[in-house]
Amino acid sequence: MSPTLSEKTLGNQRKLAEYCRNGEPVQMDGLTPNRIHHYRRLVFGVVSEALSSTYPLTQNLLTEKEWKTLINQFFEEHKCKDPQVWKMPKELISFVHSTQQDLLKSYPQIIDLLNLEWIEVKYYMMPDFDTPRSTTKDFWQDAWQLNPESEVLFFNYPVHRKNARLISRTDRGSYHCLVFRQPETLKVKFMHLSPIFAMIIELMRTEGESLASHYPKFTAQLNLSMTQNEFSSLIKPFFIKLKQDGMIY
Amino acid sequence: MKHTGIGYRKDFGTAFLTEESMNPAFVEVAPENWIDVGGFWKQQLKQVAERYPIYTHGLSLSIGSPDPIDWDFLKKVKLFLKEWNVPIYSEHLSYSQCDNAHLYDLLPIPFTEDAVKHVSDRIRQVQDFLERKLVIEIVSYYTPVAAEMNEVSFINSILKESDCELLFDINNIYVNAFNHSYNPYDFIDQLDLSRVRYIHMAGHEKVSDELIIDTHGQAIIDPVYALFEHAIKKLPNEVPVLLERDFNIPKMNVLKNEMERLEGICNKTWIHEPNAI
Repeated sequence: MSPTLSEKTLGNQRKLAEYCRNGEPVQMDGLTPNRIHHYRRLVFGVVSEALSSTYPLTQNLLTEKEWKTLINQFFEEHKCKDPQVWKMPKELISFVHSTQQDLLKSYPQIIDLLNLEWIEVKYYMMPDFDTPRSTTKDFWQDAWQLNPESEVLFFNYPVHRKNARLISRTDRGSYHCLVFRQPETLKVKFMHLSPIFAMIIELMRTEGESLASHYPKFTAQLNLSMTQNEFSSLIKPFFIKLKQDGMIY
Repeated sequence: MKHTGIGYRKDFGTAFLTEESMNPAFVEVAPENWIDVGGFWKQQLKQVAERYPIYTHGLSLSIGSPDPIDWDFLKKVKLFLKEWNVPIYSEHLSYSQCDNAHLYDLLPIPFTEDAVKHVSDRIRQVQDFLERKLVIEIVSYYTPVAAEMNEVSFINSILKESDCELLFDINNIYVNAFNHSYNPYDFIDQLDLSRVRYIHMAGHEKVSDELIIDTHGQAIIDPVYALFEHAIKKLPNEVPVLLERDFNIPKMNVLKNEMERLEGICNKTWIHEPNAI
């Protein structure tokens, strides 16, 4: 607390801010009682709009009542940390995870869906990585440069492949998904990955080098019984697609 | 245009860039909406910045907050101002964070002597850090909060103690005068106008016979234009003037007409001092 701010002023500032969040009636000198609700309405409008625009699929998954209840609880109970309102919606994910046991039970896919939606916003908005691009000539022997605006995601439910309303507990599994911002269009692309391709991309990201140099690891970890030529022919179309999409250079 | 700029919004970025005849003197952005942003939006802002100077109007500094100043956030603001070569960083004389919770709106600071000292001290710290004057906006408010002094004394005291500059929001003065039953002309006449660095003009919504909400969602009304004309006659220097429009965004030519009306008033009033911006 500032040494220059009196307890009274501090208390009044706190009362107004708390009122905005919880709506509990408040008394202060000089307050115009029939107007103070506008502050709560305006603050709630900003938070609600930011959440709705970030999570349209989650909003669509829940009933209207469930969504309203969730947003109201978040607004009243959660202290928003980020000074940038467009980043604030990511705080909903941990809020749901830690406080919404009923929703987690009814919608086991909800955390994956929230993550998917936030990651789309994050990748669309994220700062540019101004790294110089090299061009790979030999698909097998040269080291690929990965788009730095990318990552491999792991989901328990196939929220990147299937309408979230059609997902049930029986869909639970291990799903990998590649997300990246396309350098030419600047749009965000999600691509389903098999575990093998997820592993290959992660190896390329963490260790660099060429696919040829990684081949012994692939064969060991995947227990492959195919020749190097067969293996490279098998994965080549995938790499051509990644190159076309701007995921690798 | 020479004096009049417009608040740049992502909502109308493409239309704005394709409408060559807009030709504002500058555009204003909220740094919070652009910090840590790349990709499509940054490319579009680069195109805007190639054509027009960028001014800024912050949302989250929360200069009146009882919480400590967020220096990490302010570092980002400083970098942003440098990256985009921004001549003006303005903010609101209000608070939007309390007890470590951001509220993303402008809450009124109690008009008290201790708040004057508190806010002035924080403005000085921010100015020292940013190595520039902060331009502070008189905000619209819908209820006083435990006021112990009048609004104009509160504002003048902060301007003096902090040695900051003033963002003269004419619409906010009109809104406050209506909502709190005072004369906006008298209010302007009592302000320390030597500190005015920047002017904002906007529309509002009258929600009842006794309350106006500062929405920035409508056209500027005639009484606010009249107040603007009165106000700028009293300024010692020409200053930039911004048209704010945040909701119900009309077609570009409607905004252009509003800007031209503002520019016309400026040109008529400031005819003898052509180079003072």
